Amino acid sequence: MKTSNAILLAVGLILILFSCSTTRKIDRIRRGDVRAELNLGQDTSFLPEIRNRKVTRDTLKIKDDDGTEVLIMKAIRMEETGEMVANEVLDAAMVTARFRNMAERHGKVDLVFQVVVPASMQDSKWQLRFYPDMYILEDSIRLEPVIITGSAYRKAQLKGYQQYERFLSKIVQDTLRFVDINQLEIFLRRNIPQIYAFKTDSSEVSDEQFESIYGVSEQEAVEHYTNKFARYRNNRRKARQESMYRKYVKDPIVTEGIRLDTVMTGGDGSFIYNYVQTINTRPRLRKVDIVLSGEIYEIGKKIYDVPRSEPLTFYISSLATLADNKERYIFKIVERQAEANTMSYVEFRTGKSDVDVDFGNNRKELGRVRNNIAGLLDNKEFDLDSIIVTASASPEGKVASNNALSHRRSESISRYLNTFIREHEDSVIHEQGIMYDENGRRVTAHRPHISFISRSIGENWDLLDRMVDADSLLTEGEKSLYALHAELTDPDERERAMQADRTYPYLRQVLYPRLRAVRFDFFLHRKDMVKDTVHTTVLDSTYMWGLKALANMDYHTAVKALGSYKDYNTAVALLALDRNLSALEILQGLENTPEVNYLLALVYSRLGDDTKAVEHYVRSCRQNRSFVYRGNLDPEISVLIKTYGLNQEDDNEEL
Amino acid sequence: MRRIRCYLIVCLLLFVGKNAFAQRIAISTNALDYLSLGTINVEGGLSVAQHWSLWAGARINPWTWNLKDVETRNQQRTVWMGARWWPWYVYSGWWVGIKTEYLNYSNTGIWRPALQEGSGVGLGINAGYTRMLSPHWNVEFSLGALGGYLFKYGLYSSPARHYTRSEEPHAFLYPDNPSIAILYVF
Repeated sequence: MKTSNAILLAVGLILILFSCSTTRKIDRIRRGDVRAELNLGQDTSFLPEIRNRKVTRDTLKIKDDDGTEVLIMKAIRMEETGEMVANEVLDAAMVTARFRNMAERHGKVDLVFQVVVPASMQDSKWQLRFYPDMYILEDSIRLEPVIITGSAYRKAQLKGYQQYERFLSKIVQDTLRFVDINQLEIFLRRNIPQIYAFKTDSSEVSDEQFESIYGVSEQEAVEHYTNKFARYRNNRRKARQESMYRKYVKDPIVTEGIRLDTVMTGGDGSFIYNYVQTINTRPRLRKVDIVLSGEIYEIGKKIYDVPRSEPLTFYISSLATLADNKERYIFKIVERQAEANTMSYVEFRTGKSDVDVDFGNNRKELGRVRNNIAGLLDNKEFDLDSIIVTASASPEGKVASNNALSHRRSESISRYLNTFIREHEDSVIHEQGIMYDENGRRVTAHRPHISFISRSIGENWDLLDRMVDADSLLTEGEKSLYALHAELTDPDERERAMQADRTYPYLRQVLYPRLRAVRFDFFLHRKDMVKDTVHTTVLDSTYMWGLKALANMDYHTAVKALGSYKDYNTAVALLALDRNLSALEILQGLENTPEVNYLLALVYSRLGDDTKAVEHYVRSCRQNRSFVYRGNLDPEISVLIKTYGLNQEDDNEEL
Repeated sequence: MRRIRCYLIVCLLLFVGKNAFAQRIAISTNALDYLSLGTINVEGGLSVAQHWSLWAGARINPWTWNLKDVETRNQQRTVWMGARWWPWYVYSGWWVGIKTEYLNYSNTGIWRPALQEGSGVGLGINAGYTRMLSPHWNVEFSLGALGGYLFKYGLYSSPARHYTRSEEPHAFLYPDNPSIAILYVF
């Protein structure tokens, strides 16, 4: 074979080898030899105040329930000697569990996980995009992606931007550039020299047309000396900006809406990114799944879809589950009797006592009273017992005749209303129709017996005194004159004296009619109630509403609703809002149930008092074993467990 | 000489009798002509409208040179007048012009020792570009062609006229007056 042929063959083989390298990489990824995954990192509690606590591995001395003192320290039982020996436990290097318990605080949970991308998946010509998907209840949300860009890929992206920049730089923004200023100026100086006379003149000159001797204006000269082709070309470029951007920058560099975009240069190790996502919790949220999927891009085109990784599960616990959801009742006292009243101004003809519906304003007034009574009769809760009708009269005329007249008038109204009530009841019965009870017997409607009591006051001087006193139209002098007349004991004499006053017409026309009033007092009782008072228990709706808000993690509403009760649930709500001292005050007054002890442990842990915290936690566990497991869910307790190795004792005991 | 005087008077008449301040007068001289054995030339123009101007000019070369012991001369006496059309504005930019010309020449020794003499009239066209350098000064480039009739012609073997080659009057046509001129506008 000729040497030239051999060289060609060799070169060809080498080229083929190099071009295959990326496809080989893809094949390896496809086969699954190389994959990106999600991991839970080392567990440090997400609550910063707990993370920053100084870990002092002191021994603690706590008092047990029955008063005995106990020492707590991390210890194991030596097999050979059987005695307890203090020891330290090294933290594990990497947690390989696929689930973790997270506690919700203040309505939020921090989900912390790691995205691990091995070195063999990275390539300088590639861009890797990873999308963590979050599955909450029925929703799935795509979280912000993590992007790893190879340096060659980034260079190609930037090259597109550079080309676009170069194009942009060719666009001239200053339109004067197209005008041959030199020639234009010479031309103007030569042919339209008047313009230059105005150059330094700052007076207000309207847009005068300066012209040369042959009628050529300045604008025409400017237009002539403009390079029209260049201007046209520039405008074309400006119009094409958008399409040129799309042409040059095929793969724009995204800066918004992504969590991270990093350029890997050397990249001889795996890439690990600690992803923290804070989410707002909602009711019924117990578990969140996170799954990683991704894509590999080369030169702006997708070449591979990374299949979904195994899910990572976060179990969410909340303080609200510690609430006591028993129903609460409150006492209510229900009275049998009730009262109502109304006033009406029924008008009578002078000296007459019969009720004339068409006289004066009677139709309206009586209609109103009838409506009131009908309303009370039809009331479902109450029954009408009796009605007291009180009539009063105005002072003109003789006292004796006035008294008798008002008495007659009150009787007349009572009769009128009695008739009305009877008619009303009859019509109700008529509407209801015929009713049969369960035995087939005809039921006669019960017609209530309403007693009418009529009273009369006669001349209502008291009311008149009060009205004059309160009247805003009478002067002080007139009022004192009236008071002077009031010293006369005989009402008739008094009236005669008042007739001489200047204000008498006003009294007669405006105030007297108000004295001719009839007052109705209605006495009612609750239907079907026999005893005078009844004590019942009713569901305390405020309290239940507060509990519901607590379960929904609406802590502010819960505290508002439960605040006044100052009991265990109030403490739970206050703790959810981090109002530790208020909660402590309440809890210290409560009986030491295991729940109360657990909450006290939580509060003391938050306040930094480890001794008391451990004391209460141990007591609560001793009273109720389930709190051993609950302790792992709350970071305030779990940090204590870890620091002092609390639950190991129980574990060892079980063994 | 009579004819030259005639033409010059006609040109001068053009400059007189019009509103002097509405027009602009220009004067120019062609640098290239000086290179052709020292031809002195002057040209004057008068603008009459935005696009039109009138021109008149004269060229004279009285010298006789002795280059490398050969008698060389490009003597001529030429006078012309014409008009120019400026597409944009007088005295700036491109232009085309026509002229009538009376010429009278006698040259020898430039390419060959023969003597050539003649006088005639012609019609020429030329076109050029004037670039403004300042409100008054310009530089002008132009080319043209001249065609006409030589009513007196002589071609001799040498300046001493020993042998006559031809003495026929005839028509002529040749490119004429390449110019790089300096123009002054008043």
